[in-house]
Formats: sequence, structure tokens, C-alpha cells
Amino acid sequence: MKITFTLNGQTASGEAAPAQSAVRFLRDVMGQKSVKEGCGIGECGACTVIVDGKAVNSCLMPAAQLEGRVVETTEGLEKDGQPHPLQTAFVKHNAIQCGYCSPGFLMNAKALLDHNPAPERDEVEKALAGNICRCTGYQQIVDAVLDASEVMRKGE
Amino acid sequence: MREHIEYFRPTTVDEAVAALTDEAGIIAGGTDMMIDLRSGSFKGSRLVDVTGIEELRVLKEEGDTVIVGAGVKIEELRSNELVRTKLPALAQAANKFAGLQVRNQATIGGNVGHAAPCGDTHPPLILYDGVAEVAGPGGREMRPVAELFSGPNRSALKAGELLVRFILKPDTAALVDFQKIGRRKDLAISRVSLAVLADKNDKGLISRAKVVLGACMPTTRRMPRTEEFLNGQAPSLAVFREAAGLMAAEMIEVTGRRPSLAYKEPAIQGLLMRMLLPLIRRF
Repeated sequence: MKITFTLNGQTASGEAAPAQSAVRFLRDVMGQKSVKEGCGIGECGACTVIVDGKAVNSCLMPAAQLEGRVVETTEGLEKDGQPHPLQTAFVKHNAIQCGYCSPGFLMNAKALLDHNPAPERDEVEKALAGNICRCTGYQQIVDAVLDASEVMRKGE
Repeated sequence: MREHIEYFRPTTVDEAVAALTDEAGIIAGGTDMMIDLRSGSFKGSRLVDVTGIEELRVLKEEGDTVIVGAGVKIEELRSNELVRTKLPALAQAANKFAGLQVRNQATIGGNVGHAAPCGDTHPPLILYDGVAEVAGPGGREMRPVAELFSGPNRSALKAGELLVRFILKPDTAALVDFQKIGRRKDLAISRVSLAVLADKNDKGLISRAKVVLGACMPTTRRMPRTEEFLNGQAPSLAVFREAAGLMAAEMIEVTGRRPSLAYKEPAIQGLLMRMLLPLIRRF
């Protein structure tokens, strides 16, 4: 079936198999290699993308449900050759080691800051609870998100 | 992933019911069905995606009830003002449900339809005397939520039936609470879940108590003897301890002495006592 949707601000379309997951469709058909299939059963959050402003696990969503929706992936974070403040903050705070979980964390964090530009630490922790990182121990990631929220509010 | 699966996205309940043959499975948020597809445990040949049906997304007050569409997302239950004020136990269950991404996708109807013994929405739905409107080939009928489960992961819904909405009765009792015990703070599968409601009369006695235990038995159910015992009692630690012992006995009558009992018996007792404590300290 043909899926037409908005991908990182551009109209896009691709052919999905019936019952294909959104993560396989986004990676294999649409070339969005930032979207990782980690556990495939909604436990790890590595496949997190933003659909209509909300963070979702793309492994648990059939590609068919992307029809007509607005989808954001990490490929769309960079603007005019500049990394997104979240990406800059992740690097600055060493919130990355192997990097496999990073796109999922970035998209979940972006959805949070889009709705709540000044979250408290416990709100960041609650929002990110669905993402697993086995390298960093999470503190650096939470620090990075709080730092990015400050930078974004100052409009730097 | 089998390629021959047919995908159908109806826009009305009638269209959906007509498409729900024996070979069909329902998909809404996908948080259970996509896992069943991946593992191969879904053997059907047709997926009926009910996310395009407007009627399933209703969430409103109607008279002295609150109507919750089967397609309402768990995150909406967590954040919606009507749910938070009128159905706090349901909002609390939603707050402790999985992680944000899953809450953004999963629906209350899916949580009921999947019939996992640990389904976090089951205790609050039963606590609020939830009745489900079920659409089927013969039309629509109302069924108590407690009768929608026939066993662990076995729904009492028949092929061709679709959950449309839940009708819940808000309760103004002084104490309304939902708590669960999992292996970690977030993203935890409930090992024990408990929804409790209790009020006191002008003499300070417990005037009515409702206790719904989830995740410990094949299906979630009320604990009638525990409720009867609490009614009319003056709240005290000794009374709560006795109630907790009764609840454990009621559970064991259903489950027998399973290996997990060594953990679950004290866990449910401690949880019930902790949840009833505000009846002494407050109100």
C-alpha cells in the first residue's frame, strides 16, 4: 500500500507492506537510518519518532498509520547546517557513548521541549523513562536536555 | 512478517464489525498487536485498524457518568482534566502505565481487549462500575467490564465483536486510590495492582469500601468479603491488618498456593494497609 505523509517538513511517499511496522518502513523504504530497531517490542525506545507532535515507538506502529501524518526523525533536526540545540547539548554533556539509543532520546526530548519548553528535572526523567541507555547512566542525558531547554529559551 | 495480511481501516463501527471475521484481528494503538505479529502468535489474515473510527475517541461527561471511548489513548487518560477530577483512580493507573511512547499509542480498549491479567486499566474500570458498550453482528449491548475477561490473556469478546466505549460512574468517596507494584519505577509490568475506594460516615465509621485486586489472579476482580468486612468498621491498623489477611485469603481461594505467593501474599497485604491509612490520618 502507498503511504503519503509529511517527513521532516516535506511531503513524502513510499510503498509499505500490509502490517509492516513503521520502523521498518522508515528505515528500509524511506531511508531514515537514524530510526533504530532495538528490542522491537516497545521496551527500549530506540525507534522513537515524533508523529503529530507526540513521541511514539515506531516498532509498535503499523506503517499504515503514518498515512497523512506529520512525522519527525533525527534526520530532520539539523537546520541550515547547524545541529539542533539538543544535539549540541548531548555532545557537550557526553550524553552519548555508543550512540545507538541517541536518536530515540533526541526525538523523545524534542517532543517534550516542543510542548514544555521549561521542564523540571523530574518531568524530563518521567518523559524519558521509555528510553533505555546502557552506556551513560542517564544523568548526562537529563543534564543535556535541561541545558538544551535553557539554550532554546534564550534563543541562542 | 507475512505479506499476505490484508489491512483494512474502516471509518464506522458497522464497517469494522462487518470486517471482523474469524480470520481478522483488531489493531488500534498496535502496542500489543504489533508484538503478536512480530512473534507470529497472531495467526489471522486480516487486520482491522479501528483508529479511523471517530466514535471510539469520545471522552465526555454525560449525566452522572463519564463516557470513555475504547480508542482513547492512555496518555489522554493521564492528562485529561475530566478524568483527573472525576476518575482519579483511572488517571493514576494511566500515569503508571508503561512509558510515554506506549501511552501515546496504547488505547484503553486495547488494554481491556487484550485481557492481560496485569492490565492496569482493569482495576479502575471495575472500581467505577464500568460497563462496556460492545458492538457485534447482532447490534450493540452493554456488558460489565468484569465480565469481559474469561482468563489470563483471554478476552470474553467473541470474533466479530468490538469495544465501542466504557460508561463509568465517578465516585465522590473520600478515599479513591490506585497503586501498583512492579519491578521498577516506570515501564513496569504490574505484579500487584490495587484500586481502592472508601468513605466514612458522620460517626467516623467506614460507610462503604470497594477493593479491586489486579495482576494476581487470572482476571481482575473485586474482593467482596474484604469489602463487607471493612464496611461499618472504625478505621484502625488492626482492622486494616485483618482486612488485608482476608483479601489474601480471597486471592488464594482463586489462585491456589502458587510459587509467587511467598512474595505476593505480604505484598498485597502491605499495599492494602498502606492505601487505607489515610482513613485514619485524614478525612
